[in-house]
Amino acid sequence: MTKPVSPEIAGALVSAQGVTPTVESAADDARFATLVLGNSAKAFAQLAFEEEPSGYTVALRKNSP
Amino acid sequence: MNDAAILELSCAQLARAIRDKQVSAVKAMEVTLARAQAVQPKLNAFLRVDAELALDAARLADKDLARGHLRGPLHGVPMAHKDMYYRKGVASSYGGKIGPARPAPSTATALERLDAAGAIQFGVLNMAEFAFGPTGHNYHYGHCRNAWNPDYITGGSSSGSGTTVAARANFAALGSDTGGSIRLPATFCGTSGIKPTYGRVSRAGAMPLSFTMDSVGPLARTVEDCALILAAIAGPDARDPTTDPRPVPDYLSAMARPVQGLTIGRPRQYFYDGCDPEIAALMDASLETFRRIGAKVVEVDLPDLEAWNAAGAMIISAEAAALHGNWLRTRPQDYSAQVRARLEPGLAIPAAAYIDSLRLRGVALDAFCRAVFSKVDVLHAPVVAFQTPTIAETDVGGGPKLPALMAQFTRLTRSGNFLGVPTLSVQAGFTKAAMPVGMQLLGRPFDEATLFALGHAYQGATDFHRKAPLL
Repeated sequence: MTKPVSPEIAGALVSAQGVTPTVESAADDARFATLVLGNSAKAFAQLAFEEEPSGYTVALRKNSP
Repeated sequence: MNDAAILELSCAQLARAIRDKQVSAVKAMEVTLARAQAVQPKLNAFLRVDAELALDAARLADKDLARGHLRGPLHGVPMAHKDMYYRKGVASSYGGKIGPARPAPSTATALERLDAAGAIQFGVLNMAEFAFGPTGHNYHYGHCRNAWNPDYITGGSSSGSGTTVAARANFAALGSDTGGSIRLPATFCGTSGIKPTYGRVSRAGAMPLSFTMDSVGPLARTVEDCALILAAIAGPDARDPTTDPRPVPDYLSAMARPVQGLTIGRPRQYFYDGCDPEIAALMDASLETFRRIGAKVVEVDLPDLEAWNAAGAMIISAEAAALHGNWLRTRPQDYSAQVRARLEPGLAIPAAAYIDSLRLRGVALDAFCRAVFSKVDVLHAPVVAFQTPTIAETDVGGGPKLPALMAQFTRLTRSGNFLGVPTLSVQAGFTKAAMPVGMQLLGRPFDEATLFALGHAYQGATDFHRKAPLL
Protein backbone atom coordinates (compact mmCIF):
# COMPACT_ATOMS: atom_id res chain seq x y z
CA MET A 1 0.00 0.00 0.00
CA THR A 2 2.81 2.39 0.89
CA LYS A 3 6.16 2.69 -0.82
CA PRO A 4 9.53 3.08 0.88
CA VAL A 5 10.75 6.60 1.58
CA SER A 6 14.11 7.05 -0.10
CA PRO A 7 17.09 8.49 1.80
CA GLU A 8 17.25 11.22 -0.84
CA ILE A 9 13.69 12.36 -0.13
CA ALA A 10 14.12 12.12 3.65
CA GLY A 11 17.40 14.01 3.46
CA ALA A 12 15.85 16.67 1.21
CA LEU A 13 12.99 17.20 3.67
CA VAL A 14 15.40 17.54 6.56
CA SER A 15 17.63 19.93 4.59
CA ALA A 16 14.64 22.00 3.51
CA GLN A 17 14.02 22.74 7.18
CA GLY A 18 17.54 24.00 7.71
CA VAL A 19 19.01 20.93 9.37
CA THR A 20 21.99 19.23 7.78
CA PRO A 21 21.67 15.45 7.56
CA THR A 22 24.54 13.07 6.99
CA VAL A 23 24.33 10.21 4.53
CA GLU A 24 23.79 7.85 7.45
CA SER A 25 21.21 9.99 9.21
CA ALA A 26 19.21 10.47 6.00
CA ALA A 27 19.15 6.70 5.57
CA ASP A 28 17.97 6.29 9.19
CA ASP A 29 15.30 8.98 8.70
CA ALA A 30 14.07 7.18 5.59
CA ARG A 31 13.96 3.80 7.37
CA PHE A 32 11.99 5.31 10.25
CA ALA A 33 9.48 7.04 7.97
CA THR A 34 9.03 3.89 5.88
CA LEU A 35 8.42 1.77 8.97
CA VAL A 36 5.91 4.02 10.73
CA LEU A 37 4.04 5.01 7.58
CA GLY A 38 3.81 1.36 6.57
CA ASN A 39 2.66 0.14 9.97
CA SER A 40 -0.02 2.82 10.32
CA ALA A 41 -1.34 2.93 6.75
CA LYS A 42 -4.19 0.47 7.25
CA ALA A 43 -5.40 2.16 10.42
CA PHE A 44 -5.27 5.58 8.78
CA ALA A 45 -7.21 4.29 5.78
CA GLN A 46 -10.03 3.21 8.10
CA LEU A 47 -10.43 6.62 9.74
CA ALA A 48 -13.81 8.24 9.16
CA PHE A 49 -13.78 11.36 6.99
CA GLU A 50 -15.03 13.50 9.89
CA GLU A 51 -12.62 12.16 12.50
CA GLU A 52 -10.53 14.90 14.10
CA PRO A 53 -7.95 15.08 16.89
CA SER A 54 -10.46 16.43 19.42
CA GLY A 55 -12.17 13.03 19.27
CA TYR A 56 -9.48 11.91 21.68
CA THR A 57 -10.68 14.15 24.50
CA VAL A 58 -14.22 12.89 23.97
CA ALA A 59 -13.01 9.27 24.08
CA LEU A 60 -10.97 9.93 27.21
CA ARG A 61 -13.97 11.24 29.10
CA LYS A 62 -16.45 8.75 27.65
CA ASN A 63 -14.36 5.75 28.70
CA SER A 64 -13.59 6.87 32.23
CA PRO A 65 -15.50 5.15 35.06
CA MET B 1 15.28 4.94 65.08
CA ASN B 2 18.74 4.42 63.56
CA ASP B 3 19.86 5.87 60.23
CA ALA B 4 19.51 2.65 58.27
CA ALA B 5 15.99 2.12 59.58
CA ILE B 6 15.00 5.65 58.55
CA LEU B 7 16.26 5.05 55.02
CA GLU B 8 14.19 1.87 54.75
CA LEU B 9 10.94 3.73 55.45
CA SER B 10 8.51 4.47 52.65
CA CYS B 11 7.32 8.05 52.15
CA ALA B 12 4.10 7.23 53.96
CA GLN B 13 5.96 5.69 56.90
CA LEU B 14 8.50 8.50 57.11
CA ALA B 15 5.79 11.18 56.97
CA ARG B 16 4.02 9.36 59.81
CA ALA B 17 7.24 9.10 61.83
CA ILE B 18 7.92 12.82 61.38
CA ARG B 19 4.30 13.69 62.23
CA ASP B 20 4.53 11.54 65.38
CA LYS B 21 7.90 13.15 66.21
CA GLN B 22 9.73 9.81 66.18
CA VAL B 23 12.08 11.30 63.57
CA SER B 24 12.77 14.96 62.90
CA ALA B 25 12.72 16.37 59.38
CA VAL B 26 16.33 17.47 59.94
CA LYS B 27 17.39 13.94 60.90
CA ALA B 28 15.59 12.48 57.88
CA MET B 29 17.34 14.99 55.64
CA GLU B 30 20.76 14.41 57.19
CA VAL B 31 20.65 10.66 56.67
CA THR B 32 19.31 11.08 53.13
CA LEU B 33 22.08 13.53 52.23
CA ALA B 34 24.69 11.19 53.68
CA ARG B 35 23.28 8.26 51.73
CA ALA B 36 23.15 10.33 48.53
CA GLN B 37 26.78 11.28 48.97
CA ALA B 38 27.75 7.67 49.63
CA VAL B 39 26.07 6.19 46.54
CA GLN B 40 26.86 8.98 44.07
CA PRO B 41 30.32 7.67 43.07
CA LYS B 42 28.78 4.32 42.17
CA LEU B 43 25.54 5.48 40.54
CA ASN B 44 26.22 8.95 39.09
CA ALA B 45 22.57 9.68 39.77
CA PHE B 46 22.56 13.20 41.23
CA LEU B 47 23.27 16.21 39.03
CA ARG B 48 23.08 18.59 41.97
CA VAL B 49 22.50 18.29 45.70
CA ASP B 50 21.38 21.41 47.56
CA ALA B 51 22.39 20.26 51.03
CA GLU B 52 22.31 23.56 52.89
CA LEU B 53 19.05 24.73 51.35
CA ALA B 54 17.46 21.38 52.10
CA LEU B 55 18.65 21.38 55.71
CA ASP B 56 17.33 24.93 56.16
CA ALA B 57 13.98 23.81 54.78
CA ALA B 58 13.99 20.78 57.09
CA ARG B 59 14.66 23.02 60.11
CA LEU B 60 11.67 25.17 59.13
CA ALA B 61 9.55 22.04 58.75
CA ASP B 62 10.48 20.96 62.28
CA LYS B 63 9.68 24.42 63.62
CA ASP B 64 6.30 24.36 61.88
CA LEU B 65 5.52 20.99 63.38
CA ALA B 66 6.59 22.16 66.83
CA ARG B 67 4.08 25.01 66.45
CA GLY B 68 1.40 22.50 65.51
CA HIS B 69 1.40 23.30 61.80
CA LEU B 70 1.42 20.21 59.61
CA ARG B 71 1.97 21.34 56.02
CA GLY B 72 0.52 18.25 54.41
CA PRO B 73 0.77 14.48 54.03
CA LEU B 74 4.44 14.62 52.97
CA HIS B 75 5.63 16.97 55.72
CA GLY B 76 9.41 16.76 55.90
CA VAL B 77 9.91 13.95 53.36
CA PRO B 78 13.15 14.45 51.35
CA MET B 79 12.86 14.11 47.58
CA ALA B 80 15.05 14.77 44.56
CA HIS B 81 13.56 14.95 41.07
CA LYS B 82 14.45 14.47 37.42
CA ASP B 83 16.23 17.65 36.32
CA MET B 84 13.47 18.89 34.05
CA TYR B 85 11.04 20.40 36.56
CA TYR B 86 11.41 24.18 36.77
CA ARG B 87 12.14 25.76 40.11
CA LYS B 88 11.81 29.55 40.10
CA GLY B 89 15.24 31.16 39.95
CA VAL B 90 17.04 27.92 39.06
CA ALA B 91 18.17 26.68 35.61
CA SER B 92 17.34 23.05 34.80
CA SER B 93 19.80 21.06 32.72
CA TYR B 94 17.28 18.76 30.97
CA GLY B 95 20.15 16.29 31.01
CA GLY B 96 21.73 18.17 28.11
CA LYS B 97 24.14 20.93 27.27
CA ILE B 98 21.59 22.99 25.38
CA GLY B 99 18.72 24.60 27.15
CA PRO B 100 17.68 27.83 28.70
CA ALA B 101 20.66 28.90 30.78
CA ARG B 102 18.40 31.49 32.37
CA PRO B 103 16.80 30.78 35.72
CA ALA B 104 13.22 29.54 35.42
CA PRO B 105 10.63 32.32 35.77
CA SER B 106 8.24 30.13 37.76
CA THR B 107 8.05 26.78 39.52
CA ALA B 108 6.50 23.69 37.96
CA THR B 109 2.98 23.02 39.21
CA ALA B 110 3.96 19.49 40.29
CA LEU B 111 6.79 20.89 42.43
CA GLU B 112 4.53 23.60 43.88
CA ARG B 113 2.05 20.94 44.90
CA LEU B 114 4.73 18.72 46.45
CA ASP B 115 6.00 21.78 48.34
CA ALA B 116 2.47 22.45 49.57
CA ALA B 117 2.17 18.83 50.68
CA GLY B 118 5.30 19.32 52.79
CA ALA B 119 7.93 17.47 50.74
CA ILE B 120 11.42 18.97 50.71
CA GLN B 121 13.45 18.89 47.50
CA PHE B 122 17.14 18.30 48.14
CA GLY B 123 18.52 17.92 44.63
CA VAL B 124 18.07 17.15 40.96
CA LEU B 125 18.70 13.88 39.17
CA ASN B 126 20.45 12.55 36.13
CA MET B 127 18.21 11.77 33.17
CA ALA B 128 18.43 10.94 29.50
CA GLU B 129 19.32 14.02 27.46
CA PHE B 130 16.04 15.90 26.90
CA ALA B 131 14.23 12.81 28.24
CA PHE B 132 14.76 11.25 24.81
CA GLY B 133 16.40 7.92 25.53
CA PRO B 134 15.20 4.65 27.09
CA THR B 135 18.43 3.34 28.67
CA GLY B 136 19.87 5.87 31.13
CA HIS B 137 22.92 6.70 29.05
CA ASN B 138 23.98 10.34 29.21
CA TYR B 139 27.00 11.44 27.20
CA HIS B 140 27.11 14.90 28.80
CA TYR B 141 26.91 14.09 32.51
CA GLY B 142 27.96 10.44 32.46
CA HIS B 143 25.79 7.35 32.35
CA CYS B 144 23.50 6.71 35.29
CA ARG B 145 24.02 3.29 36.89
CA ASN B 146 21.67 0.70 38.30
CA ALA B 147 21.71 0.34 42.09
CA TRP B 148 21.30 -3.44 41.77
CA ASN B 149 24.41 -3.73 39.64
CA PRO B 150 26.22 -0.62 38.39
CA ASP B 151 27.25 -2.41 35.19
CA TYR B 152 23.60 -2.52 34.14
CA ILE B 153 21.38 0.20 32.73
CA THR B 154 18.83 2.00 34.87
CA GLY B 155 16.37 2.43 32.04
CA GLY B 156 15.32 5.89 31.00
CA SER B 157 14.62 8.50 30.63
CA SER B 158 13.98 8.96 34.38
CA SER B 159 17.24 7.18 35.17
CA GLY B 160 18.25 9.00 38.34
CA SER B 161 14.68 8.79 39.64
CA GLY B 162 14.69 5.00 39.43
CA THR B 163 18.12 4.27 40.79
CA THR B 164 18.14 6.75 43.71
CA VAL B 165 14.78 5.50 44.98
CA ALA B 166 15.98 1.89 44.69
CA ALA B 167 19.26 2.76 46.43
CA ARG B 168 17.45 4.26 49.45
CA ALA B 169 19.10 7.58 48.64
CA ASN B 170 15.79 9.26 47.84
CA PHE B 171 12.29 8.59 49.18
CA ALA B 172 10.52 9.30 45.89
CA ALA B 173 11.14 11.19 42.67
CA LEU B 174 9.18 12.79 39.90
CA GLY B 175 9.83 11.22 36.54
CA SER B 176 8.16 11.83 33.22
CA ASP B 177 6.78 9.33 30.74
CA THR B 178 6.41 9.98 27.01
CA GLY B 179 6.98 6.45 25.73
CA GLY B 180 7.81 4.53 28.92
CA SER B 181 10.21 6.79 30.81
CA ILE B 182 8.67 6.14 34.24
CA ARG B 183 7.87 2.46 33.76
CA LEU B 184 11.22 1.46 32.25
CA PRO B 185 13.42 2.72 35.13
CA ALA B 186 10.82 1.48 37.59
CA THR B 187 11.08 -2.06 36.22
CA PHE B 188 14.87 -2.08 35.70
CA CYS B 189 15.56 -0.53 39.13
CA GLY B 190 12.85 -2.34 41.09
CA THR B 191 10.57 0.50 42.13
CA SER B 192 6.91 1.28 41.69
CA GLY B 193 5.87 4.03 39.30
CA ILE B 194 2.66 5.50 37.92
CA LYS B 195 2.16 7.06 34.51
CA PRO B 196 -1.16 8.78 35.12
CA THR B 197 -3.96 9.35 32.64
CA TYR B 198 -3.16 12.08 30.13
CA GLY B 199 -4.52 15.27 31.68
CA ARG B 200 -4.50 13.99 35.26
CA VAL B 201 -1.31 15.88 36.25
CA SER B 202 -0.30 19.32 35.06
CA ARG B 203 2.70 19.54 32.75
CA ALA B 204 3.17 23.26 33.48
CA GLY B 205 6.80 23.95 34.23
CA ALA B 206 7.94 20.52 33.07
CA MET B 207 10.31 20.32 30.11
CA PRO B 208 8.25 19.26 27.09
CA LEU B 209 9.26 16.43 24.79
CA SER B 210 5.94 15.65 23.13
CA PHE B 211 3.02 17.66 24.46
CA THR B 212 0.54 15.05 23.22
CA MET B 213 2.24 12.14 24.95
CA ASP B 214 4.05 13.58 28.00
CA SER B 215 2.88 12.51 31.46
CA VAL B 216 4.18 13.59 34.85
CA GLY B 217 4.29 11.01 37.63
CA PRO B 218 6.28 9.60 40.55
CA LEU B 219 8.61 6.67 41.09
CA ALA B 220 8.57 5.41 44.66
CA ARG B 221 9.27 2.28 46.64
CA THR B 222 5.64 1.34 47.17
CA VAL B 223 2.33 1.65 45.39
CA GLU B 224 1.00 3.43 48.47
CA ASP B 225 3.66 6.12 48.02
CA CYS B 226 2.72 6.49 44.35
CA ALA B 227 -0.90 7.01 45.43
CA LEU B 228 0.12 9.49 48.10
CA ILE B 229 2.24 11.53 45.70
CA LEU B 230 -0.24 11.38 42.82
CA ALA B 231 -2.95 12.63 45.19
CA ALA B 232 -0.71 15.60 45.97
CA ILE B 233 0.17 16.57 42.38
CA ALA B 234 -2.96 15.62 40.40
CA GLY B 235 -5.86 17.84 39.45
CA PRO B 236 -6.83 20.70 37.19
CA ASP B 237 -4.39 23.54 36.64
CA ALA B 238 -5.09 26.81 34.85
CA ARG B 239 -1.45 26.80 33.69
CA ASP B 240 -1.99 23.59 31.70
CA PRO B 241 -5.20 23.67 29.65
CA THR B 242 -4.91 19.95 28.88
CA THR B 243 -5.57 19.05 32.52
CA ASP B 244 -8.93 17.47 33.18
CA PRO B 245 -11.35 19.45 35.35
CA ARG B 246 -12.69 16.53 37.38
CA PRO B 247 -11.77 16.37 41.07
CA VAL B 248 -9.05 13.99 42.23
CA PRO B 249 -10.39 10.88 44.00
CA ASP B 250 -9.18 9.89 47.44
CA TYR B 251 -6.58 7.42 46.18
CA LEU B 252 -5.51 6.26 49.63
CA SER B 253 -9.04 5.26 50.61
CA ALA B 254 -9.64 3.68 47.21
CA MET B 255 -6.38 1.79 47.53
CA ALA B 256 -7.66 0.00 50.60
CA ARG B 257 -10.68 -1.43 48.80
CA PRO B 258 -10.84 -5.23 48.52
CA VAL B 259 -9.65 -6.68 45.23
CA GLN B 260 -11.95 -9.69 45.38
CA GLY B 261 -14.18 -9.54 42.34
CA LEU B 262 -11.80 -7.47 40.24
CA THR B 263 -10.84 -9.05 36.93
CA ILE B 264 -7.35 -8.87 35.43
CA GLY B 265 -6.73 -9.46 31.74
CA ARG B 266 -3.72 -11.29 30.35
CA PRO B 267 -3.19 -10.26 26.73
CA ARG B 268 -3.31 -13.05 24.13
CA GLN B 269 -1.45 -10.93 21.56
CA TYR B 270 1.56 -8.70 21.26
CA PHE B 271 2.91 -8.33 24.82
CA TYR B 272 4.38 -11.83 25.03
CA ASP B 273 5.74 -12.01 21.46
CA GLY B 274 9.39 -13.05 21.85
CA CYS B 275 9.24 -12.58 25.61
CA ASP B 276 12.19 -13.84 27.65
CA PRO B 277 11.07 -17.04 29.43
CA GLU B 278 12.18 -15.80 32.86
CA ILE B 279 10.18 -12.59 32.42
CA ALA B 280 7.14 -14.56 31.23
CA ALA B 281 7.44 -16.88 34.23
CA LEU B 282 7.58 -13.93 36.63
CA MET B 283 4.51 -12.44 34.96
CA ASP B 284 2.66 -15.74 35.37
CA ALA B 285 3.74 -15.91 39.02
CA SER B 286 2.41 -12.41 39.62
CA LEU B 287 -0.92 -13.37 38.05
CA GLU B 288 -1.01 -16.39 40.34
CA THR B 289 -0.51 -14.05 43.31
CA PHE B 290 -3.39 -11.92 42.10
CA ARG B 291 -5.56 -15.06 41.91
CA ARG B 292 -4.53 -16.00 45.42
CA ILE B 293 -5.59 -12.62 46.83
CA GLY B 294 -8.98 -12.89 45.22
CA ALA B 295 -8.79 -11.35 41.76
CA LYS B 296 -9.95 -13.22 38.70
CA VAL B 297 -7.59 -13.60 35.74
CA VAL B 298 -8.83 -14.10 32.17
CA GLU B 299 -7.23 -13.86 28.74
CA VAL B 300 -8.21 -10.98 26.46
CA ASP B 301 -7.78 -10.24 22.76
CA LEU B 302 -6.24 -6.92 21.79
CA PRO B 303 -6.64 -4.70 18.74
CA ASP B 304 -3.68 -3.89 16.46
CA LEU B 305 -1.12 -2.28 18.76
CA GLU B 306 1.54 -2.20 16.04
CA ALA B 307 -0.36 0.54 14.18
CA TRP B 308 -0.88 2.52 17.38
CA ASN B 309 2.79 2.26 18.28
CA ALA B 310 3.68 3.58 14.84
CA ALA B 311 1.26 6.48 15.24
CA GLY B 312 2.64 7.18 18.71
CA ALA B 313 6.18 7.16 17.36
CA MET B 314 5.20 9.67 14.67
CA ILE B 315 3.61 11.99 17.24
CA ILE B 316 6.63 11.89 19.54
CA SER B 317 9.10 12.33 16.69
CA ALA B 318 7.27 15.15 14.95
CA GLU B 319 6.57 17.09 18.14
CA ALA B 320 10.08 16.63 19.51
CA ALA B 321 11.58 17.71 16.17
CA ALA B 322 9.39 20.81 16.16
CA LEU B 323 10.34 21.72 19.73
CA HIS B 324 14.03 21.18 19.00
CA GLY B 325 14.01 22.65 15.47
CA ASN B 326 15.83 25.86 16.32
CA TRP B 327 18.58 24.11 18.23
CA LEU B 328 18.89 21.39 15.56
CA ARG B 329 19.52 24.16 13.05
CA THR B 330 21.82 26.35 15.13
CA ARG B 331 23.54 24.05 17.67
CA PRO B 332 23.50 20.50 16.30
CA GLN B 333 26.98 19.85 17.65
CA ASP B 334 25.74 20.37 21.22
CA TYR B 335 23.50 17.30 21.14
CA SER B 336 24.92 13.86 21.69
CA ALA B 337 25.01 11.95 18.41
CA GLN B 338 22.37 9.51 19.73
CA VAL B 339 19.81 12.15 20.65
CA ARG B 340 20.37 14.14 17.47
CA ALA B 341 19.76 10.90 15.56
CA ARG B 342 16.50 10.38 17.46
CA LEU B 343 15.31 13.94 16.81
CA GLU B 344 16.10 14.22 13.10
CA PRO B 345 13.59 11.63 11.78
CA GLY B 346 10.73 13.76 13.04
CA LEU B 347 11.58 16.30 10.36
CA ALA B 348 10.84 13.69 7.69
CA ILE B 349 7.34 12.82 8.91
CA PRO B 350 4.65 14.22 6.57
CA ALA B 351 2.24 16.64 8.25
CA ALA B 352 -0.76 14.61 7.07
CA ALA B 353 0.61 11.48 8.74
CA TYR B 354 1.17 13.37 11.99
CA ILE B 355 -2.42 14.66 11.87
CA ASP B 356 -3.74 11.19 11.01
CA SER B 357 -1.88 9.91 14.08
CA LEU B 358 -3.73 12.45 16.20
CA ARG B 359 -7.05 11.59 14.50
CA LEU B 360 -6.45 7.90 15.23
CA ARG B 361 -5.94 8.44 18.96
CA GLY B 362 -9.59 8.72 19.99
CA VAL B 363 -10.64 5.87 17.70
CA ALA B 364 -7.89 3.71 19.18
CA LEU B 365 -8.84 4.53 22.75
CA ASP B 366 -12.48 3.62 22.06
CA ALA B 367 -11.40 0.35 20.44
CA PHE B 368 -9.01 -0.51 23.27
CA CYS B 369 -11.59 0.19 25.98
CA ARG B 370 -14.19 -1.85 24.10
CA ALA B 371 -11.83 -4.79 23.65
CA VAL B 372 -10.32 -4.75 27.11
CA PHE B 373 -12.45 -2.96 29.66
CA SER B 374 -15.74 -4.52 28.60
CA LYS B 375 -14.22 -7.77 29.91
CA VAL B 376 -11.70 -6.87 32.61
CA ASP B 377 -10.91 -4.11 35.08
CA VAL B 378 -7.20 -3.88 34.24
CA LEU B 379 -4.79 -5.28 31.70
CA HIS B 380 -1.64 -6.95 33.08
CA ALA B 381 1.54 -7.15 31.00
CA PRO B 382 5.32 -7.10 31.17
CA VAL B 383 6.99 -3.69 30.87
CA VAL B 384 9.74 -5.09 28.68
CA ALA B 385 10.12 -8.51 27.09
CA PHE B 386 13.87 -8.82 27.71
CA GLN B 387 16.21 -8.95 30.70
CA THR B 388 18.09 -5.86 31.83
CA PRO B 389 21.01 -5.24 29.47
CA THR B 390 24.36 -3.86 30.57
CA ILE B 391 25.45 -0.31 29.89
CA ALA B 392 28.10 -1.63 27.49
CA GLU B 393 25.61 -3.74 25.52
CA THR B 394 23.43 -0.68 24.89
CA ASP B 395 26.23 1.82 24.32
CA VAL B 396 27.67 3.04 21.03
CA GLY B 397 29.36 0.05 19.45
CA GLY B 398 27.22 -2.32 21.48
CA GLY B 399 27.34 -4.91 18.74
CA PRO B 400 25.21 -6.15 15.86
CA LYS B 401 22.19 -6.88 18.07
CA LEU B 402 21.99 -3.29 19.34
CA PRO B 403 19.56 -1.78 16.77
CA ALA B 404 17.07 -4.61 17.28
CA LEU B 405 17.37 -4.34 21.06
CA MET B 406 16.87 -0.56 21.05
CA ALA B 407 13.71 -0.99 18.98
CA GLN B 408 12.32 -3.26 21.70
CA PHE B 409 12.66 -0.86 24.62
CA THR B 410 9.39 1.06 24.31
CA ARG B 411 7.47 -1.54 22.32
CA LEU B 412 5.32 -2.55 25.31
CA THR B 413 4.98 0.89 26.88
CA ARG B 414 4.40 3.42 24.10
CA SER B 415 0.81 2.37 23.44
CA GLY B 416 -0.03 3.43 27.01
CA ASN B 417 1.06 6.96 26.11
CA PHE B 418 -0.69 6.92 22.76
CA LEU B 419 -3.93 5.84 24.43
CA GLY B 420 -3.26 8.07 27.43
CA VAL B 421 -4.48 5.42 29.88
CA PRO B 422 -3.06 5.19 33.41
CA THR B 423 -0.37 2.56 33.83
CA LEU B 424 1.14 1.39 37.08
CA SER B 425 4.49 -0.39 37.19
CA VAL B 426 4.99 -2.73 40.15
CA GLN B 427 7.92 -4.91 41.24
CA ALA B 428 7.25 -8.52 40.20
CA GLY B 429 10.40 -10.36 41.22
CA PHE B 430 14.00 -10.95 40.23
CA THR B 431 15.78 -12.77 37.45
CA LYS B 432 18.46 -15.39 38.06
CA ALA B 433 20.95 -12.57 37.46
CA ALA B 434 19.44 -10.88 40.57
CA MET B 435 18.02 -7.98 38.58
CA PRO B 436 14.50 -6.71 39.30
CA VAL B 437 11.58 -7.16 36.92
CA GLY B 438 8.36 -5.18 36.84
CA MET B 439 4.85 -5.70 35.55
CA GLN B 440 2.50 -3.02 34.29
CA LEU B 441 -1.22 -2.68 34.99
CA LEU B 442 -3.17 -0.59 32.46
CA GLY B 443 -6.50 0.88 33.54
CA ARG B 444 -9.46 2.82 32.23
CA PRO B 445 -8.88 6.55 31.74
CA PHE B 446 -8.85 8.31 35.14
CA ASP B 447 -9.15 5.01 37.02
CA GLU B 448 -5.78 5.14 38.75
CA ALA B 449 -7.65 4.11 41.92
CA THR B 450 -8.26 0.54 40.72
CA LEU B 451 -4.60 0.20 39.72
CA PHE B 452 -3.55 1.35 43.18
CA ALA B 453 -5.96 -1.09 44.87
CA LEU B 454 -4.55 -4.03 42.95
CA GLY B 455 -0.92 -2.93 43.22
CA HIS B 456 -1.21 -2.28 46.95
CA ALA B 457 -2.90 -5.62 47.58
CA TYR B 458 -0.17 -7.34 45.54
CA GLN B 459 2.54 -5.68 47.63
CA GLY B 460 0.70 -6.81 50.74
CA ALA B 461 1.13 -10.39 49.52
CA THR B 462 4.73 -10.11 48.29
CA ASP B 463 8.00 -8.62 49.52
CA PHE B 464 9.81 -7.69 46.29
CA HIS B 465 9.31 -3.99 47.06
CA ARG B 466 11.02 -4.38 50.44
CA LYS B 467 14.24 -5.79 49.02
CA ALA B 468 17.06 -3.27 48.77
CA PRO B 469 20.20 -3.48 46.67
CA LEU B 470 23.51 -4.04 48.43
CA LEU B 471 25.66 -1.08 47.51
